[in-house]
Amino acid sequence: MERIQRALDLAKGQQPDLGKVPQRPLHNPPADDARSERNTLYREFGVAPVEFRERLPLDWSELRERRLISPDDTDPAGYAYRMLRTQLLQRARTHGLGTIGVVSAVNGEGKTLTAINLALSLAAEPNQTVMLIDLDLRRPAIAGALGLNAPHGLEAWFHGDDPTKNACYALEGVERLYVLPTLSPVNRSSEVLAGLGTRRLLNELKGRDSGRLLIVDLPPVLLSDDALMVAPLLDAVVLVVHERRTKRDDVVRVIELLGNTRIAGTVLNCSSESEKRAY
Amino acid sequence: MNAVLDKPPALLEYLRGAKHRKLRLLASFALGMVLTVLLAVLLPSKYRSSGTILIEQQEMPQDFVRSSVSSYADQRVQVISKRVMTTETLLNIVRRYDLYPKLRANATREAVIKQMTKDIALKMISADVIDPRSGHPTSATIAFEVSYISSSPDLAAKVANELTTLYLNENLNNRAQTARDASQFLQQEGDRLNQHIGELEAQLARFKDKHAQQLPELTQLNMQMMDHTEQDLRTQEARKSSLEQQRVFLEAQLAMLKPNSTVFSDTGERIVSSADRLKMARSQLDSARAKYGVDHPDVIRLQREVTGLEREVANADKAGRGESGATTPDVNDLQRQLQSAQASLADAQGRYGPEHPDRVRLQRMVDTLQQELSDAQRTGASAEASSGRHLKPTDADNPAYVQIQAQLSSTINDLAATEEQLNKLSARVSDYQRNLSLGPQVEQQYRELMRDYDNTRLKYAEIRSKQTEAKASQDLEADRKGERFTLIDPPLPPEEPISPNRPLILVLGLFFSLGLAAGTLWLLERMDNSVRGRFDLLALTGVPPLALVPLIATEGDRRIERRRMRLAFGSAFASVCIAVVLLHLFYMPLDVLWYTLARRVGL
Repeated sequence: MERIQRALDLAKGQQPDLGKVPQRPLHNPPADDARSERNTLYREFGVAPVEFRERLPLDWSELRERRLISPDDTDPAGYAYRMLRTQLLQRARTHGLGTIGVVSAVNGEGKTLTAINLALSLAAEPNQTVMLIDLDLRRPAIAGALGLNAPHGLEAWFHGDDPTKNACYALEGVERLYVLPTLSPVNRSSEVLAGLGTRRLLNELKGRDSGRLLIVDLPPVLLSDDALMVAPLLDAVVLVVHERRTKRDDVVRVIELLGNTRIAGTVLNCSSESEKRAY
Repeated sequence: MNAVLDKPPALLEYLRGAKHRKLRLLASFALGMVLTVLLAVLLPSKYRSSGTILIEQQEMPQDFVRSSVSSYADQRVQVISKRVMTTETLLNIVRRYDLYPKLRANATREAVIKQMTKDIALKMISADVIDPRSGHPTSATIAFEVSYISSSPDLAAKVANELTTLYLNENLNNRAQTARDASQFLQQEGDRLNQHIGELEAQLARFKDKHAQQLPELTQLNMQMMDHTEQDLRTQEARKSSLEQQRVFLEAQLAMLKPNSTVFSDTGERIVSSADRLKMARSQLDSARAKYGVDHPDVIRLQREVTGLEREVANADKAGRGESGATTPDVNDLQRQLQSAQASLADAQGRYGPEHPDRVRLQRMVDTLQQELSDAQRTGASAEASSGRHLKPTDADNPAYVQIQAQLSSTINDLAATEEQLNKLSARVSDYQRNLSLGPQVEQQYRELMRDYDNTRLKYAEIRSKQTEAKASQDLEADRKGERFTLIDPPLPPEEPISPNRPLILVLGLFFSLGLAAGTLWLLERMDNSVRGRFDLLALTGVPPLALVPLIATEGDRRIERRRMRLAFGSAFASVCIAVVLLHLFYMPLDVLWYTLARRVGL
């Protein structure tokens, strides 16, 4: 408990702006139309619901069963993620990348897993704040993967009746990592993501701290246009490829579709030729 | 990344693929094995029963009796085989043993026969020997094996027995038939030649008959005979000429003699014969006619005298031999008279004028004489020709005359005989000449005939000797002393099937299954278009992947893995158990197998 407390204190000290985000006063809920309009305006001009509210507990043994790797895991995969983290950080610093999307051609290729594991690994780096955002609005999975029992999610920001609800959570035992999960699928996700709200959300989350890294879990590129909507707003994407599952044609197609978006690199998931073991 | 590392070795790729798809590969392998085992177990057993038939050589030495069945043993076996394997025979066997019931129910008779032919096998057993005649090493058929394949061992043995019996019988019949045929043929050939010889002999006899004198062997004789005959001819000619001379001489002598001896009367006066008196009377009559007219008394008297004399002479002739030459005045006399009359007339013509009585008289005389001469010539020509001039008057009584006349007559007879002989001889000579000139031509024909005859006779002798041999051979075959087939190994019901070769099927099936798995892997790998390894990704994106994340193994994964392992071991054990049971039931009981293995390993 001491350690947690200390970490909490440290986090507070390091991220004063987060803490200083003023709590907006709650208005009375108006008539439907009016409220909807206000919500839209709020989404477009107001601040994002990024205020760190609470720290959610993690059950590591359960997470391990979901193939999530804690930074101090000796599993070869941990080593692979550390390699990925280091290379991404170097690139991010070199090219000034702040928002990095995680995409894949189709679902089931380990995109969310990579995003979470990458975020965990990045957060283990000292002086690196990481925000993990679930923008896969059709099948949000981060909350489920982490086993988060969050009261609100980003769906409230995009579609909900009250956009001011906080959806940013810290995790117990993990410093410098904030998670913005989506708890339930959002209707008309494509249009929602096309709106200004998304841009504003990302801008808000980036904040003024240029050292902060946003890891965005995106929907599969080839199954909907959601990812293509978001991609231009991001600095770079990481393409997750599942060995012996992702088709070669799909990889090519994804690269074509992403067009101008910088591809920071690829991750070969479930690789049979793993990296050398850490020593 | 340099180009060398662009692609990992393909084999490694396949191994990774195999690891990735081990379940599917295992499934295809298992499918192959299951099919194999099913095939090995379910294929019906086939049994083969075979009988070995030894081809025994002739018992009698070939030098004593040579068999007329001289084809090679294997060739004969093939011939017999063709005779045995007739549709009729095979169908009989099929019916008797009720073979191929299903096929017979569903397919044509041809299909049944085809199947049967396939199940029957004929195998020659050869030995390397040295041919005693040529001295070259060759391979001789010493035996052959007849076998039949069936799904039942008993049936296989029965049918094989039937077949071997057929072969044995057919061989006996075949050989006897061949020997009989040979003998019969030779018999016919001999008869034919015999007949031909008869014809030739008849022809020869006819020829000899026709050309009896011209035969070549008579040439010498003919020449000698011709010489002899020519000699005879010459002798006869010489004799003929001498006879001619003799005749001429005799005739001359005869001419000088009077047939009648001169008869003198008592008065010493010569008695003239009637014929002479007739001559005289006639000449007187002629001169009287010339001197006087017809009615002159002298003429009449002379006429009467002549007539009386003529009658007398004629009577005398009639009494003799009917000779008429004397009745008419002699032509010579008449000519002589005529010549003298003509000479007188010519003299008178020179001396006197035409109306001179002498001249007229002479003229008349000449005319009369000419008339008479022509008459005499006309009437006497035929009589003279037939009677000849030298015929003696019957009343010739001059002994010299008669003797000469007899000589002459015998000479003439001799001459005629010689003439006749000469004619005969010259005819014979010409005969001989003809024979000799025809000789070469006849000889040629004769030689031809003889040659034909000799050849035919030689051939006939040959055929007859062969026929004797063939008869001996036939007896040989009839007594079964010739080459024969002996069943040395009768077909027995086999105890072990010849097919299917179950261990072989299993081994092949194992390989087949492995191949199937490999093929499946290959096919899947080729059809799979997914990303494989970082080099693939490098090739696709142009940059190497940032990280290679291995499969993150969780406790659940491990549990599943463990369960799978247990399952695999369990099923492997179960398979082994099933295999052992199958082995026990279908291949060999386990205890037997155990002892067999123990014996094989080393007692």
